[in-house]
Amino acid sequence: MTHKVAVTGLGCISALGPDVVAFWDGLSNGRCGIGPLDLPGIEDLHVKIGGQVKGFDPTAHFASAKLAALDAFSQFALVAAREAVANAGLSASDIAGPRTAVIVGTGIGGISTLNDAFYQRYGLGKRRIDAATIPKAMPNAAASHISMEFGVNGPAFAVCSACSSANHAMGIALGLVRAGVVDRAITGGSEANLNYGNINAWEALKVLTPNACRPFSRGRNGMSLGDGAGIIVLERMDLAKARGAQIHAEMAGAGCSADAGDLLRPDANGAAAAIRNALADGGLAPEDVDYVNAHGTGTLLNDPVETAAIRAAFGAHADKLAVSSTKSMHGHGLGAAGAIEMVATILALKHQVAPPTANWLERDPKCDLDYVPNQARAMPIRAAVSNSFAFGGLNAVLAVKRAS
Amino acid sequence: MSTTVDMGTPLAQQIIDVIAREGMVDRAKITAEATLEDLGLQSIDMVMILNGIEEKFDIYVPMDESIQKIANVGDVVDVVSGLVQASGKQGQSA
Repeated sequence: MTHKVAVTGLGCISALGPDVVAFWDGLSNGRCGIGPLDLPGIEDLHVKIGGQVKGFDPTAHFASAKLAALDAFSQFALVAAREAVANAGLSASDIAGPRTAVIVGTGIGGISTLNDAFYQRYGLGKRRIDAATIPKAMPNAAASHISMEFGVNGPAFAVCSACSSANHAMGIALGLVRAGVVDRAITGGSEANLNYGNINAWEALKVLTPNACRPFSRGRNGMSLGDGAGIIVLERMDLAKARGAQIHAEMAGAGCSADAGDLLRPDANGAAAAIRNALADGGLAPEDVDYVNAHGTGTLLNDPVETAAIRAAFGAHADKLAVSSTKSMHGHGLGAAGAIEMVATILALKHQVAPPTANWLERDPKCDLDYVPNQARAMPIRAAVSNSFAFGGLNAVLAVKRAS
Repeated sequence: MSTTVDMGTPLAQQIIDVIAREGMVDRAKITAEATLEDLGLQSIDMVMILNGIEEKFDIYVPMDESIQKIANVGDVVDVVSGLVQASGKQGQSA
């Protein structure tokens, strides 16, 4: 027996602010949270901007003994998970035990911990390394800490597929709840990758913009990295209704594909296949969808390829879609991207407002869809799709619809 | 994009050296007309070549529309030559 799956809780921390309220305030006003990075060593990097979580004080959220073993990516995940669980109105006893899953995506786990630890050894020549380096850096740390905080004994693990990590994670969580393996899941993604060494490595890939992230626009020249986390609570629809929970949306379907081609270059056929699979899994026709939260990185290559993929998957209906990239405002959250963008997509569905693509200047002939440039748009949204396409050719797409 | 690039200049030869080394391509196959596909270059190879060019000439290669139009080696030489000349720098001796 399969179950419908409800989204009952939302949590988000990003460059647009520390919670879902601040996030939607930023998105709905087209505010760009990407700006000058406040980081040691930034002077000699070419790229000096990013989507940093500003004003975040870890000690306001965690006891110092606990903080010693928490990389920022676990901190962000825990903060977003607390918000999502509270938002779902679930009690501690509801969540604890074997009927809850915790599945959290991350692209690269505790990369800032590794950056710091190796700098202490190679850069400063210190003899002793922080003994918490490995448990802080391990990519499953965020999932583990969420399971420990909430006493969750069900399936708990990390999913790692670069920029598709969170969508893959939420897709697996959907499958577990739908199949009745668990009653609910705390799921999403987290990333804290803004550190000197990692930005340097991304610079070398020639995909970062030194000035502004302007997806789908003429004059775009790259993406901006972003930190943060998105966590949602998925719940069996019948159980959510029985307890009178607020239902933000129905998580309708998930679709994946692998390009099996180039390591870095996106592939329109693979991306289109994942979109088609998500629609089919959700029982949706292309005509049922009104809004697409695009992968929309703002790189030269992604945006025309994604445009072609959307056209291939949606056919003539593509011209009726509102398509926007909220990465223009919160940055590319990599392993958190799909989750931050799923929160954006569900809020769009709830408020019946498509968030815009910020920093958009003018039409690129190869990007010829309606990208909701610069200003949010009130519009009927029945169902929406959120795309993630990763390095390594791994694609994951989710579809949500208004709860009936 | 460009079909009339002079591949014989010292600067063009230095650029071709970088393509051959970083892309691990047989230098004899590198002609103006050779496309990146002809040379079997994947995206990561192209990134290595651009990094090699930045290091060699101490320049920054912006990922703007001129890069998007690159189809063959002549285009690479054309775009990079323009950037090197605009920077006023010559190749590093290393």
